[in-house]
Amino acid sequence: MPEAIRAADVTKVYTSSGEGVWNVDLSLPEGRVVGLIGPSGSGKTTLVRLLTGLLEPDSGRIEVLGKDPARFEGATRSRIGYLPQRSALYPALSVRENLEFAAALHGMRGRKRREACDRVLAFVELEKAQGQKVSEISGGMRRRVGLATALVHSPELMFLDEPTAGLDPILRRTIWEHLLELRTRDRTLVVTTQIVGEAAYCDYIAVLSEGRVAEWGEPEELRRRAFGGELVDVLFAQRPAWSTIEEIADSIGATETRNTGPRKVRFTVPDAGSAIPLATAAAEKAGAELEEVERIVPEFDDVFVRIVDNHRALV
Amino acid sequence: MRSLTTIFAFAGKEIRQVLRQPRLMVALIVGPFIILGLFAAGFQANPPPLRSVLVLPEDSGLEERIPQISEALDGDMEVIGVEHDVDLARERLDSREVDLVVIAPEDAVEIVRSNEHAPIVVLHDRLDPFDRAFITVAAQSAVDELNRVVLSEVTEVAQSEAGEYEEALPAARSSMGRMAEALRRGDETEARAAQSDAIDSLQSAEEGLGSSSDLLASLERSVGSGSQEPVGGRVGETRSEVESLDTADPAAADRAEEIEADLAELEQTLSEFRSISPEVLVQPFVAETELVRGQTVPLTTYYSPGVVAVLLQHVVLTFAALSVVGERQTGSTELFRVGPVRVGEFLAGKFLGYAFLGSVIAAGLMAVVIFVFGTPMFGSPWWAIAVLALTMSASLGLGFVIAAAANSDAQAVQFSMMALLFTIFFSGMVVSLSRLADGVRQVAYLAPATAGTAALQDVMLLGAPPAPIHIGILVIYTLVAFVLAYVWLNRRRVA
Repeated sequence: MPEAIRAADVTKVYTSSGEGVWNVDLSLPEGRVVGLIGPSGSGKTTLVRLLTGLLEPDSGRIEVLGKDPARFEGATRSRIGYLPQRSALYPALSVRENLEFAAALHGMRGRKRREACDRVLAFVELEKAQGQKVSEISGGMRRRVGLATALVHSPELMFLDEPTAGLDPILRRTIWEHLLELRTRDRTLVVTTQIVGEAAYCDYIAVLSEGRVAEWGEPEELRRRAFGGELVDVLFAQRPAWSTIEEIADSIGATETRNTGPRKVRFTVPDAGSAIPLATAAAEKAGAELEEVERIVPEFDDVFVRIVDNHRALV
Repeated sequence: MRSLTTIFAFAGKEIRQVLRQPRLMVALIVGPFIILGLFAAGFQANPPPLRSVLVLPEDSGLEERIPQISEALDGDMEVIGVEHDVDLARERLDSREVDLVVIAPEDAVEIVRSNEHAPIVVLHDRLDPFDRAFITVAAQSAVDELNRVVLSEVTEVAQSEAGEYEEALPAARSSMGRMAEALRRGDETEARAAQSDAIDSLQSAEEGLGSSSDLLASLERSVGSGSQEPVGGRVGETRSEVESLDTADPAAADRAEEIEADLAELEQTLSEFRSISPEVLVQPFVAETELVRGQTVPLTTYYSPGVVAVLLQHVVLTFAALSVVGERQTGSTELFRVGPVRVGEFLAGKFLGYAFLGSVIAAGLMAVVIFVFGTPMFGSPWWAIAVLALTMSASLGLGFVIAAAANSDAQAVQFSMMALLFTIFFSGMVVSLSRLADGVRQVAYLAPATAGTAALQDVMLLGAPPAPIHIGILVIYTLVAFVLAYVWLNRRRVA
C-alpha cells in the first residue's frame, strides 16, 4: 500500500522545556485513519507539527505526500487539511463566511467555492446554521465548523489535532462518523486523541509515550501485543488445585496465568478461538467442573495503560 | 490568480470583522469623531479672563483709569473689585474668589521723583507654566497700558499748553510782514517798531512753547528723518535773527520776508503737533503682521489637520497591530502556514482591508473638519488625498511592525498607546516642531503623523503643495515599515 507519510528516526527537542519527540519511525499508509494516541505531553502535537511543516526536525527525515514538509510548495499544501487543537475560527463571521474564507485561502473562488462550501456544510450537517455567527453557536458546532474548514478544499491528507477534545460522547461519536465517512472516500486521516477508546475507530494506531512511539500497528494487533496474546477467563465451580490449572494452561499453550478471583483464572493464549475448546477438554480430563469459559477483549484503556507501563519500564 | 483571491479574502474578512463588532466600531471609528467634536467644542483659543482685584491707595487716581485699562486688555483680565487693604485682597486670592491681586504702590509719585520705576506687584497662585507665562504677559500689558494712559494725559496737557501760545507766532509773522513792507517803503522807524513787536511776540512764544512743542521734533528725530530742529529752539533762533537785522541794510527787507515765511512754516508745524492725538504721540508704533501665503485661521482650524493625521494614524495602526496579534493568538496563523498562504499575501490582504476602512475614516474626518468646523482647503484636494493615503500606509506599516514585535494583545495595545503618546508630543500637532532641539526633531518623524500633519497643513491652510521632504519621508517610511514587518513576521513564521 502506498505511503502517505514516512518518518525515519525523527527527533525534535524544544530547547526551552527539554520536551519533544525522539527517534520516531512511522510509515502511514494512504486511505486509512491513523490514530496518534498518548497522554498529555507525550509528543502527539509536536509530531503533527513536524508532519505539517510547522516545525523542522533536529534530525531524521520526514516525507509527507513524497515531499519534505518544511519545504512544501503551495500545490502540496493545498493537498493537506489541518484542524488545530484550537479551532481558529472568526467569531464575528458567520459559519459560511468562515468556510468561504478558508476556501479562498486555497485559491477557490466563485461557483466552485460556493459548491465546496455547500458540500462541506452538508457533510457536517450545518446547512441550517450557515448564517449564524460563530460566536453564537455551541462548542460542538464550532468543532464541526472547524472540521469543515479543514475539509473545504477536499484535501487528500488531513491532520486533525484532538478533534473531539472537550466534547460530550454523543458529539464525539458524530465527529467520528464524519471522519469514518471520509475514509470511505479514500482520504488519509491522522488524528491525535487522548481518548483511548477512540482507537477503536482507527485503522492504525501509534501509541506515544514520553516523546517516543511505544507501539505502532492495527488496534487488534496492539491489543494482542500489549498483553502478549489473547485473553481467556475460566470460572470454576470450585477452586481446583494449582496443578490442575497448570495442566489446563499447558494444554492451551498459555503464556501467562493469573488468578483474577477466588474461582476465576485468566489465561493469556496465542489464539482464544482454539484455546476455549481445549481448555474445556483439559478441565474435564482433570475432573474440574467449569461454570464459564469466555474470551476477554480488553478495553483500549487497559491496552493503553499496559503499553505505556511496558514502555516506561523498558525506557 | 490564487494570490489575488487570497489577498481579497483577507481584505474582505478584515472589513467584515470590523463592521460586525459594534463596540470596536464605536471605540475605533466613532471614537475619533467624538474626540474631534469635543476638541472643537471645548477648545478655548483664549483662556477665560483672569479675575483680578486691585489694591489701590485710598486717594489713588488710578481707580479712574480702571475702565480704560480693562478695555485695553480685551478680556485677558477682568477687574472685579478694588480693595484698599492688601490682606483682604490676599484672602480673596486664597479663597480662589479671584485669580490675581494687583497691588499699586502707595507712593508712586515719590518713587518716580526719586528716579525709579514704581512697582506694581501681581500676586497669583498658578503652578502651570503656561498660566504663569500668560499672567506675566497680561500683567505687563496692563502696566504698559497704564503707562500709556498716564503719558497720553501728560502729552495732552502739553498740547493744550502749546495752544495757548500759538497766537504769538502769527503776531510775530505779521510784525515781520510789516517790517519788510516798511523797509521797502523806506520807513525805517516803522520797520524798527515792527522789528521790536516781532521780537516781543517771539520771546513770548519761545517761553510758552518750551518743551511741550518739542515733542513732535523729538519724535521726528527718533523715528523720522531727524532734520527737524525743536520748535522752541527754532523760535529762539528766529528771534535772535530778527534781533540781528539791521534796518539800514539794503537786504534787510528780503530777509524779513524770509523770516515771515519761516514763521508760517513754524505755525504749520505747531498746528500739526496739536492736531496729533496724544495716544498716537505716546505710542507712535503699532505692530501689523501680514501672512504672505494662505489666510489667518483660528486656533481650532490650525489644529484640525494635525488632529486628522494623528487620529488616522492611531486608528489604522491599532487595527493593524491588534489584527495580526489576534490571528497569532487564535492559532489562525498555524492554518495559514500549513495552507498555501504567504506572508506577503497575508500583509497585502490586511493592508487592503484596513486601507479601505482607513479611507472611510479619513474621508469622514475630513468632511467633519471642513464642513462642520469650517477648516479651509486652500490647496488641491488631490494633494490632501495623497497625503492622507501616505500617512495611512505608513501607519499601517508601523502597525504591522508593532504586531511583529508584540507577543500578546496587551503588548500590542501598550505599544499602540506608546506610539500615540509619542505622536501627541512630537508630531507637531500640539507643540511646534521648531521648538524641538535638533536630533529630537528628526526623531519626531518616527511617527507617520509628524510628516502627515506638516504636509496636510501645507495643503489645507497654506494652499501649497506639501514639502517634498514630507512626502519623501512618508513614502520611505511605508516601504521600510513593510519590509521590516515582512522580514520579522516571516522569521516569526506568521504565515
